Amino acid sequence: MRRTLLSALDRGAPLIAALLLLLIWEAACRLLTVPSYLLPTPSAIVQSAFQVPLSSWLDHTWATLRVSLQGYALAVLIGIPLAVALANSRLLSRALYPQLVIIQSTPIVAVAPIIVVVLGAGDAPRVVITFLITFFPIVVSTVTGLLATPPAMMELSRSLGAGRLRAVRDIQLPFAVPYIFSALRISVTLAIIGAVVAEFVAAENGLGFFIAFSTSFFKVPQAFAALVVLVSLSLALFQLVALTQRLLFPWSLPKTEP
Amino acid sequence: MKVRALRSILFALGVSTLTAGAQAADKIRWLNDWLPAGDKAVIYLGVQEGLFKDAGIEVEIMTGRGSSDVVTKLGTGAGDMGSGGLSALMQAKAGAEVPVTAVMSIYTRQPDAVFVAEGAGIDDLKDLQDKTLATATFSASNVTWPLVLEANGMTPDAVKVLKVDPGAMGPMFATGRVDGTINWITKLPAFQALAKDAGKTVKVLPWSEYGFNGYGLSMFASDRLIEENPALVKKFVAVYKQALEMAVADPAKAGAALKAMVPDIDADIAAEEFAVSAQLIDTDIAKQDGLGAFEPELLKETWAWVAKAQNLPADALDPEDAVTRAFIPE
Amino acid sequence: MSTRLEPGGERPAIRFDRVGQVFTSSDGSRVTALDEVSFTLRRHEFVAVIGPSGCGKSTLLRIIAGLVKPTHGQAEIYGLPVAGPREEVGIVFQQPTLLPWLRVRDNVTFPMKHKHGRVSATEKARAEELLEMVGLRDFAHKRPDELSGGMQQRVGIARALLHDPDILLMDEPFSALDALTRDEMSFELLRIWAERPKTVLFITHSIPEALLLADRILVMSARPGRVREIIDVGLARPRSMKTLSEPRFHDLANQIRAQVFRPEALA
Repeated sequence: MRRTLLSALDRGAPLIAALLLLLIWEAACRLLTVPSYLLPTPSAIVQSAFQVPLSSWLDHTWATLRVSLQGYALAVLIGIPLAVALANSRLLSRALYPQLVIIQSTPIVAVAPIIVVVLGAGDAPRVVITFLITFFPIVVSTVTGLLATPPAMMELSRSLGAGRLRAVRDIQLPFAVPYIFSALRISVTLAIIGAVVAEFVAAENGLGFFIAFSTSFFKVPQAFAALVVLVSLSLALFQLVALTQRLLFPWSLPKTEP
Repeated sequence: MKVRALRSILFALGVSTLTAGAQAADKIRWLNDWLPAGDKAVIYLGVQEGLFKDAGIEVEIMTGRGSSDVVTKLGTGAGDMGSGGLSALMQAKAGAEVPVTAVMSIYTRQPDAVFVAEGAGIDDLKDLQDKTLATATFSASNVTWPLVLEANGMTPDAVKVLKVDPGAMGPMFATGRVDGTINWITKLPAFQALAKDAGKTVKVLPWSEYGFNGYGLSMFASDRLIEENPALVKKFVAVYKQALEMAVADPAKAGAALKAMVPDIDADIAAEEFAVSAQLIDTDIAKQDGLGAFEPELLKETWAWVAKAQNLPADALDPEDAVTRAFIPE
Repeated sequence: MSTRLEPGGERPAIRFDRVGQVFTSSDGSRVTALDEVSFTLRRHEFVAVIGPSGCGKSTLLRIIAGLVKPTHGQAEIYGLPVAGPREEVGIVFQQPTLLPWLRVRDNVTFPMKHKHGRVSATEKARAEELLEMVGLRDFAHKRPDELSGGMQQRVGIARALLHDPDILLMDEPFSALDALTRDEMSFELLRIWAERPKTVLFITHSIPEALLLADRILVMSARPGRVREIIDVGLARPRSMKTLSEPRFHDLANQIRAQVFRPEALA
């Protein structure tokens, strides 16, 4: 009896903690009469969220989602093959790694306006900005994963006289799956950040645009509501990637005690 | 110098964008200089009322991030026409070959102003001595501000200025963290609404009352469009002027048109915002010279402020080169 | 199968002819791993190679597997110089090196899948047979991480036997196992070897293991790796737990121990 109660408490703990936090937030704002343009109460945020028409939410969410997913897909499609090339060629990795580090060290926010100017209107500049932000972790993590393949495994492949491509496909890539997925999970949240950064620089809609737009009218609760949607979107994508790994590559998950 | 080189490269790159995106005959990609708000309502009114459509012009409205962004995007072919401060265009043209020209004036008074709280004992610029103001980090007003102070016999460091994010200015003002803010006068309704929550009333000190004269918001066109299709530019300017007059006569209608196209807008605030900006449009100067005109003397004064603010030689630009009067309707 | 040679006449299965291996380490210095190693294995002979760590035992195995090219001399299989990996060779590594995403039976057939892109029905049947032989019939559908270390290594052995190689190279295959499992695996290997005779080159650093398994033992010295002595074990087969208590077993163990730990200067 006591045990089931404890385990229920254990499972419900995150939810209870979150609810408690919201309650403290609400109470503190009300008791200290914090004005809503400084820190809106959770209830004010919810209220303002319902004042925005659903079509508006869908419109902005879809715009951000569309750009994020395009940039993310591009990063995956270019990042993983590039990682395979880097992991298998010393020459290539010597030649390209420094440039990759330079790209990663460049604050994308700073060059975003230039990208927008060069690529013009439309989704293209936003997709490229998202790509640049998500791409590097995918490459680095995939390379690490590919190189973590046990050397004996590669020797086995060589002793069988199988080709290099087969070794990549049958051995290296599957061994890298846990690494690739940990990068994919991080990158999908970075993709949302990338899209938002891009929307701050140039956009006609999207959740990032909507936040900038709301604060320009000092509608802080509305901006917070957009933030909540943004975070939910990010979490949902993160879980979706995790679920994909669980369904397609169950063996690649860390072991839990049976 | 670096900025100039970068700009040249960007414009060179822009050539590829514009050749790739050859457009349909009568489509105008319009760039507003900032996020949608009441003071940007005219273009929406023109579209919503079908004025452009009747003239056979299709308009795509895009949101720029400041006047210099509009100038850059027009220059690189990312847009065809747009609105922005004339000062920003002059500054850009003094630094590099920028293929953008102003085709019509919109504000005949400068929109810059200081917002303070009513009853705080600040009734004149002089009263700002040793006070603290908030300003947007990237506002073009920032370079002109010390000159306005000097022109009024004050030292540039007489007033402390904090550079902050535009979204933070209102809350800082409302909570009394700063004594006032530097804003375009068109922001007044949004500030007023916020200040009301904090039990304050906003008082406006427009810079134009302290000698800061010149053309403000103007309409720009890319030189490519002017060269390729001057008839379209002329037609567009005429329709825009018509929409402008309609909006000045009925700000509520302008606000409603904006709301219809940008559903997230509050139509009442938008109408108020446009009504405030109408004070910069429908001025004595405009009444005398005609709406949209560029008069040589005021043009010179506009440039003189830019040259001083940017530390440029007075002959770095002939202000006449920044504008063309070929498209201003009679 | 054209590369596969039929073992013929008196030709030795494996022959090392003055094989030397010099590595250049990252700081530019040169390390002699093997020096003038000459040695032959008769067909279906079980030979253990023993020596201190760093004596180049594993390099010897990699040379005959065709994974490493010797800097001096040459290695031969059935009289032909080894130029690359060969079909008549199967390898069992120190670690089981199984693919965690494949079931046990798919791990056994992996070499075929990897090399030819598909696995024939005959090979599948053979995999089941081999799993039966190594006592893992009931585990064929499990994933490697559901198996103990000893079981995993048996899968590794079954995999090496899939294409019925004439030569089996084993690189300290039981060194990662605990002592009990290790003995058990040794007897298991002897049983398999008796069932399907093969030429075995068995690298180890355990003297009892070498004595229990091998026909002959190659004792090597450390750095540079040289052949110090070749010992004929001469213990009767089949061997069992009893073998471990025979006086000859102890005499030989002491002899080898003395050789392994003998300082180079006195050689």
